[in-house]
Parts: sequence; structure tokens; C-alpha cells
Amino acid sequence: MTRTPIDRRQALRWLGGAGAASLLAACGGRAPEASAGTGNTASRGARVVVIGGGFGGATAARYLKRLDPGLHVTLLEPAERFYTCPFTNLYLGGLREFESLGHDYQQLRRLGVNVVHALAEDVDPVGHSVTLAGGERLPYDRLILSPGIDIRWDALEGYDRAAAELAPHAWKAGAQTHRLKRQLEAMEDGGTFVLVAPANPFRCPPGPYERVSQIAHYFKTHKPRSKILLLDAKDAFSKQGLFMDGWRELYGDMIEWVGLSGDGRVVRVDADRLEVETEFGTLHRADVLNVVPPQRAGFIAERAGVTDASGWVPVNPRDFSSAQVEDVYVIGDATEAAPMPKSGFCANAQGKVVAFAAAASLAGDPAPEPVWANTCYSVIGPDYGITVAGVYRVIDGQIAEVPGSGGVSPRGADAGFRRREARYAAAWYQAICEDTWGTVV
Amino acid sequence: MKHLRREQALTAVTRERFVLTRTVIVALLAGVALLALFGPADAAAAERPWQRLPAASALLDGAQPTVTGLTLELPLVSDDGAAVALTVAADRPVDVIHLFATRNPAPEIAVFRFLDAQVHPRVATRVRLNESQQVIALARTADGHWLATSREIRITVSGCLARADAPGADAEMTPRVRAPSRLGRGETAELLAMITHPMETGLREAADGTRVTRRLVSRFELSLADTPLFKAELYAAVSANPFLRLQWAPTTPGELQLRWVEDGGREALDRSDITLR
Amino acid sequence: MTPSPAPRMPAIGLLLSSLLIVGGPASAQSPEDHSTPPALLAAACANCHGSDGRGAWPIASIAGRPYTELLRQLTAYRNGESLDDATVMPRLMAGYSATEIETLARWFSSLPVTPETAAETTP
Repeated sequence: MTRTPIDRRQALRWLGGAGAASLLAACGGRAPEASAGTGNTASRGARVVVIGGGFGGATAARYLKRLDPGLHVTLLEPAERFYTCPFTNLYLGGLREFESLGHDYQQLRRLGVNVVHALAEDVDPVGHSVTLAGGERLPYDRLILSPGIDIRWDALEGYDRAAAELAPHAWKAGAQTHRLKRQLEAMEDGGTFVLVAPANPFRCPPGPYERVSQIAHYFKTHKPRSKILLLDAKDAFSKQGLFMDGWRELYGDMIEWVGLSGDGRVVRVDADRLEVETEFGTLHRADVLNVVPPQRAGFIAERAGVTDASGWVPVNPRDFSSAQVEDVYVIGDATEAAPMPKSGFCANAQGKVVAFAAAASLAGDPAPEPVWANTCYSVIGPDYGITVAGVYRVIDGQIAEVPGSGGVSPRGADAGFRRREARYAAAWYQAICEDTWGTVV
Repeated sequence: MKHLRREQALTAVTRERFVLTRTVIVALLAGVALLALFGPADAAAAERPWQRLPAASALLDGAQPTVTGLTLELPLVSDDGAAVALTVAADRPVDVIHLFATRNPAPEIAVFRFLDAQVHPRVATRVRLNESQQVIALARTADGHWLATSREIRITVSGCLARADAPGADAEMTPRVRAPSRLGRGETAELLAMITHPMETGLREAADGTRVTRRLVSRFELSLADTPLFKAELYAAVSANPFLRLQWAPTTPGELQLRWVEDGGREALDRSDITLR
Repeated sequence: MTPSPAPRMPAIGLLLSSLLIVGGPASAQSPEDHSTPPALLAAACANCHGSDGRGAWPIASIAGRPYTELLRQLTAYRNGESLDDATVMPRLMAGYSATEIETLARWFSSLPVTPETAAETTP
């Protein structure tokens, strides 16, 4: 147990109390000057630019600063208040106020992160600089991209920006979410809500299914004669059995799911008529139409040259450095990190791994061995939560789920189990937001 | 106007022929394996995936395929190996395209036979891939020349996307077809065909631990005005509810017939009339 | 009220290299052990239990809980037992080695129970 004192001291140091010298003595006699952070000239004053202030980017900035306060960390995020995609479904269901999903950057500023509310327009990977929308150039030693997703406006016939005004995607929190909420409120009892779900990969694999659950809750309490049709480009989806059990238990036959083999794949959207056409030519008319379209990495990833032909970003599994561009790390939904899902939880987990890896790299050290965990909570009803969890490591050079770990909530669990997972979901949201932005909800 | 009709007839002959074909293939494979072990080594040729896979190299029988002209479209990574979208296309007329998966329990995916120039050599389907591997396509032209290509695909196993029990929305052997009923002579259109079927591999265990019997839709045939246009042989690596998307340019009007045959002999037939402007 | 994070943030540097060095010996202990630095290992818990182990009810606050208690509980989860009201913990702990679980137990037992006590606890 020789490691005990080291762990303990490090834990305390993490909180900002321990003395540097005592710590180093415990670690095999390296002089304080040789260490990263306060001492190492290699990393002292090094500039790290983080693009994107969501779960990935804000976490990376916060952990970098906690790891090494001597680093110059700049976070670029256009929004002064960031609204999370997670839990927007609960807002649509009436279980949550929209404002409770907003987070500002005051705590990151207090920590010493230079938060700049500007849009990053271009990256010069050779010259190591980022160009802002105003033309200003920011030099970097290491760049961390957490650009999230962009909608592929060219991928689904009839679904362009104008169509999204009539048939919102609501797959980014904000105006689109409000639009969908207003449409649901304006819909007459007895109407049909149609959600179009995309093929993999896309942001938040359980998202479409949690969304129809929450909208079913809203209908059940306000418009009980209404129907929900979920047209899916897949034959299998995240937590499928649990969702379907929950739908039956809470909402009877209100929700109908049509998968790929049942001709659920939508190939054309007519937003003016709120009508969609499937692969084999079936037309479905909606009173409220929610199209979750195909997606790709946020545009700045393409500008930085880190995307591949798929539109997503290949990364080196161990440290999430770009497989294509040096000194650039990419995290979150933009990456090809499967089997890790495109979730806020994973973006946060990747943000930490990248903070350690970038700091190590600046100090001339190899990236530490990573481990990631993920728990996706989905709230089917006010007292009905379900989860899927996973622990991921680099196995044989690739990200893999640790065999025997993870998995979904048990089928047929009792009401108490479901209620607890719904309560845990709310507490999880509070914890991850604190861990990401330092904010207390 | 389209009318659907299902004909169910058990043809024992089909099954015997199927078994026979398998025996021949196994014998061929054994032969190739022996050759590979004891024959002269050709290091350069061994680099090519179709040279390494006995089922593919048996087909080539020593021929050196051209590596341009045939393309395989597959995602780089797939979260769901149970249904991976695949498109294979040749830039010139071909008689046949063979698809193989190098690391599935059995390498054969499907064979597409282009019997008439009205069907273009471009087919999309959905396939099962057990693990990360290479997918190989081989095509033979009318003059016996081979084209070859291969693509690496990564299959990830994710508990997040674990599928539930297959929802039985439609009865088995229910066809779904999308074909334009009216189009210009020689105009290129898409033809989509799907049939509800579990495509039991014979490798799956039921809840009670017993093995589920292998049962596949193993043949698909397309004809227009009694002229055979296209045939497909489907193996266990084709996803449940086999899906095919073809490109065609019909030159004669008449009855369009699509026929699916289960390896036990059960059939489904879809008929519709095509008129040309 | 929201406590200012300043006092509990690392006013002095978190000496990164030393964190990394600690990972070294762990990898030599047994084949199933991984050399993830304790701070990074523990960071994976923060998504639910908070950056400093102080979870929001009803998720357990694990900062400052006795080492033996944490070790016993995490090990039970790892063995597939669902203690108390846990739902997801057995599924997560199944992905960690026994040594990692010891490290985690030690890490969180060392953290102060409340932010206010952080300054007193630190040497």
C-alpha cells in the first residue's frame, strides 16, 4: 500500500491545498522545476484554445485550469448563456423550466479561463491559429475542438433551413426548442405528432425516444386523444425494450413506432403540408412535425481539416487527438468515438481525458491511460427513469466497452427502481452541469 | 396499379439443389485451403484480400482482377452490425457481382446476376457483419474479365444500441415494392424491394437455449414481360427483412414480377404493370 | 448560496507530471490494472457525484466517507450486488479493477465533506 499517501495527497492537492514540494517528494524525487504546471517551462504560459462551450469544451477548459493554473486557456463560445440539449425533452414534457437548462461562464472566468463570446470562423493548423468572426487571430499551442453537430441540410429531400421553421428539428437547444413547444401547445386535442428519427450515427441515441415519451406525458395530461407516430430509419434503437415497456405502461397505445423494416425510413419532407414520404412511398400527415435530420461534425471541424469523408472526426483513441491534424484534439458529438455514444456525458468524460492529455503533451509527457464512463438517463415519465451505462477503455488500440460492464436497466424492474432512476436523472443533471460549467442549478 | 399475391409452394427440388451447391463449395474450399498450404507462395498476390479469402480466390481461379471499375460504399464505422447499408456498383456492364465478408461465420453475403441490360450494375442492400473486417466485391464481365474491390469496416459493439425483440409488425414473407408504374422508355428509375423475413442464420439460440433452425430467403428474381432481368442469391449475411434497391431503365412495357423464395421452397410474388410513355 | 470555487480550486499547481508518475507503478501490479492517474480515474465519477465528490441528493455524496466503507461498497457493486438504492453502480463498477477501486475509495475518502472544510483539511 505504498501508494496510499500519494493518492491521498493528490486528492487534497486537487482541491488546492497541498504544498508543491511535499507532493513532489512523494513522487520519486523530481524537482519542482521539472514538473508541469507551476514549474515546467515547457508548459508555463502555454496557450490552449478551446472551441465550443458545451459539455465537452467547457469541461476541457475547466479541468485544464484545475490541472495547471499556469496555462493560458481561452474558451471560444458565441453564447453568453449555454442551453443544454439534455433535458430539453423534459421542458417539452412540462417537467422542467427552460431557464433551468441555461448555464453561464462566470465560474469558468473565476477559475481563470479566458472566455470569449465569439464565433471561431477558421483554423490555420500550420500557423497554429484560430480566426474569429471579427477577423482577430488567436495563436495556440494546443487546440481543443468541441464543435458539436451541424445539421446536414442537403441530406433529406425537402428539409432545409426554411423547412425547419415549419417542421422544427429542435436538436439544438434554443429557438428551435421553443418553436416545437409552441406548436405542441397550439395543437388541438386529437392531433398527431410525428417524429422522424435518423439513421446512426447522430447526437443522443436515446433522444428521439425520450422526446416522444415526454410529449406523450404532455399529451396525456393536456391532450389525451392525441397520437404519436415515430418514423425511424433504424430497426433497433437505444434502450428499445425499456422504452417500449415504458410507453405501454404509461401511455397505452398512444405511441406508434415504425422501424426501417416496417417502412419507417423517411425520404422526403413537405414542410408546407406537414407531410412526409417514406422509402416505399407511404405518406404520413402530421399536425406537428418534428424532423431529426442527418448530422455531421460542427463546421469548424471541417475548417480545421479534422473531418473525414463521413463528415465526422476520426481521433486517436488514447488521447482524442485528431488522426489527421497535429496539436488538435477533438471531443464530443463531432467525433467517431463509437462505441461511446454521442452524449453530453461522453463529451464531458472526453473533455477530462483531453485536458490530461493536452497538459501532458505540453509538459513533454505521454498521454495517460484513459478511462471513460457513460450513463445516459432517459426520463419516460415523471416517476419513470431508465439508464444505459458503459465503461470504456482502449483495448487493442481501439475504444471498446469493457467486457462485462455497462448495460441497460433491468427489464421488468419494479416501480421503485424506475422512480429512483428518474430522481437520479435530475441529480445527475445537476452534478454534470457543476462538473462542466461549475454552475449550481 | 399494383396487386400483391403470395404463392406458397414447397419445392423440395430447390432445397436439394441448395444442399448440393453447398457441398460443392465446401469441396472447393478444401481444395483451395490445400493449395494455400502446399502450393507455391505468391507474396504479392497474397496481399489482396480476395486472394486471401478461399471462397473468393476459388471463384477467381487464378485470374488477376482489375482493381478499378467496381466500387463498394459502406460506412467506415457502424454501431449496428445487424444492418449495415451497402452499395456495390460497376462502371461497365457485368454479368455477376459476388459479395464476401472476410470474418463472418460464413464468407458469402450475396450474388447478384444481371441478366439484361435494363438493370444497371448498381445494387444497394443491408448486410450483417459480425465484427470489424473487410468486405469484398468481385464482378465478372460478359467476356470473363474480373473486377475486384474491398473495403475495411469497423463494427463496434455497444450496449447502448442493443436491439430489443424483433417487432413482428407484418407477417413473414410480406413483400413491399416501390417501382414507378409509368415512366419514359429508357428512363432510369429506382426499384425497391423488401420482404419481411427473419433470415435465421442457424447460429442463434432461442430463449430456451435450443438453436433456431436456419431459414433464409435465399433467392430473389425480377422479370419484366416474361424476360428475366435480375436474380440474387442471398446468404445468412443479408440482414433480416432483405432489402434491395436496383437501378433500371425498362425498354418494354408489361408485367413486372418480383419473386422471393425461401430455402424451404416457400415463395412470395409481387406483380404490377409497367407502362411506358 | 453558491460557494466561490476559488478556495477549493488548485491555487497551487496540480503537478501534472507527478500525477502521471503515480500511474506508473500501478501498471506493474497485475495484468488487469491500468495506469490511469488517480485524478483522471476519479474524474469519471464526477459526472454524477460532482467534481469534488459532493453529489446532489439523492445521488450519494462520497467526499470524506471512510475508506473502508467506500471500499466495501464499491467492491460489492463490482461483485454485482445492488446495495441500498443503487441502480447503475453495479454496471459501472464492473468495468474497474480491484486496484482501481481501492484508488477511488482512497481518493474520495480523502476529500473534505463540505467545501467549507476544505481549507481546514489541507495541510
